[in-house]
Amino acid sequence: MQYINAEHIKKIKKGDVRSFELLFNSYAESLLKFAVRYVHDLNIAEDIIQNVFMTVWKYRSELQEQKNIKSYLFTITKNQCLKYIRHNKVEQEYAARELSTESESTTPLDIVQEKETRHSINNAIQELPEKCRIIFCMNRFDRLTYAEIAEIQGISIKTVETQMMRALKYLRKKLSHLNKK
Amino acid sequence: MHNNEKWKIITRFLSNECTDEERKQVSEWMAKDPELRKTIADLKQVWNIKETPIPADSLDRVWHSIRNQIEFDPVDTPRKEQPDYSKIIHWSKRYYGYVTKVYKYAAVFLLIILSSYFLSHGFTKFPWDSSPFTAKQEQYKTLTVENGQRIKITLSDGTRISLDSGSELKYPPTFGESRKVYLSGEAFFDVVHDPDRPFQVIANHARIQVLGTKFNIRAWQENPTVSVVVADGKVSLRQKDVEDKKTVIIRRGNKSELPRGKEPSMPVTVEVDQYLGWMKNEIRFKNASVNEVLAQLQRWYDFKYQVHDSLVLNQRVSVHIKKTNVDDVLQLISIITNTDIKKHGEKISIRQKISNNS
Repeated sequence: MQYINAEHIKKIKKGDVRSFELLFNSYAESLLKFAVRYVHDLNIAEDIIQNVFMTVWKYRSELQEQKNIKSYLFTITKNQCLKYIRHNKVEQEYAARELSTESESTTPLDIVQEKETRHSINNAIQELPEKCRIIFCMNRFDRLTYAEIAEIQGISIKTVETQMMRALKYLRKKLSHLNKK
Repeated sequence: MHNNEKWKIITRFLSNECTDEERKQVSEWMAKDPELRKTIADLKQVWNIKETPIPADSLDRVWHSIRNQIEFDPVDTPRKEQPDYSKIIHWSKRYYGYVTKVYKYAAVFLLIILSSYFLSHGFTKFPWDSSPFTAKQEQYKTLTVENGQRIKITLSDGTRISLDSGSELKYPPTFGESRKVYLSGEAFFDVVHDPDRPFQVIANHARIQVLGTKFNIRAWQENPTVSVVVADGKVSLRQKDVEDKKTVIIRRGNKSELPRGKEPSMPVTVEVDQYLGWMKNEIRFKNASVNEVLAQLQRWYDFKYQVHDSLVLNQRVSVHIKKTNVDDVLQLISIITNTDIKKHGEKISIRQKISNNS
């Protein structure tokens, strides 16, 4: 993966589509996964990411080279997700889907130990309280630093730490259950 | 040290947020306490777990849409707009001059969509479609065009749609942050350009992303395959469900078909004007079932028909029908299918010619 530097941003500001594509290739996947965590639907997340990049393109002249473009992208994505959630009742849908995946998960394949562990861990992550889960995923999956998470979420680094610790406590408890089995 | 503080440092350690001193400290703790060492090792596994991957083509799809919107934005790429303009005019004159007259330089899409039997169920409920920013389901209005009728409607964004007999359109009274409509039947769309709000058409099992401004859709229930023909510009076609991976981008002059539950076919070059015929009250069927032909005639002329030998319905025919007198049309059908067609008021009965039977 190539990282976006100030030079690329300068080019994007001038309307260079190639640099814009590089920006897309660098961050779209992380952003898409990030959005899925909020809206729980790939289709919707795709549309959101499309909107995010169209917004960036539209207001490209206002991009700031010295600013962290990563945080900027994540922030817009977060805001778009929240906007979507406000307009739609995602929660209900999600609850229904969770029930359906639960019944699916009892296939013979899942007996394989390693897969089961991974599955359990992923499940445990999903069980974390919303705010905690999103912060945890931002750190673990999107490789965002505490400082970046704080900036994107508009919270203090201390809060990020607290939430990460909360995740750790919960996952540790889950893990000990798992080991006992 | 307070236990809480200890775990905070361990969390930082796991998250690559700790200082060198803290790292050293954690090492010391682990050296002294094998239990803790085990716990941290386990947690490390959790910390490094991979997220469920997303389908590989997902991002391609998104980028395609973005790329196309950028291309179509005249403000952003004025250089590109000019040559495209002349090409479109040139191309249009050759293949369907009459459309050019009406729609000038705008991209014209022709999507012919023949939908499946499931459509009738699909249209009463939309549980399968969950796109962002669409108005809530109950806010969608339904416009049904009676057989023998034709309707023109202008949507809230200025998009104009002509609908042929027997078609049904679901649309929100006002569009939110995205534009999405549902069609069953046949329609010509004149979509107002808005790069911030791409226009999507959901037709049965297909999702068509409109990357330009004008296009035509046909979506009838007697055919389980959605087929899309593009007169100009580009559209993307795919199964509407997440699980179905492949998307094709169909360019002007090409056609792709999407059977239910399968992948769209490779686009092939077709004679586009054949698919625009309905707007001129004529329609061409190529190797179509008699069932499809009769269904179209039924909508145009609003009659009911009864077929006494179902084999007739599966017969394949190629025919060019002009919407003239119903009797002339039925006579044509009678000849090519080798059947006797009798009309009793609005009811029509179709029988295989006697010579075939004992």
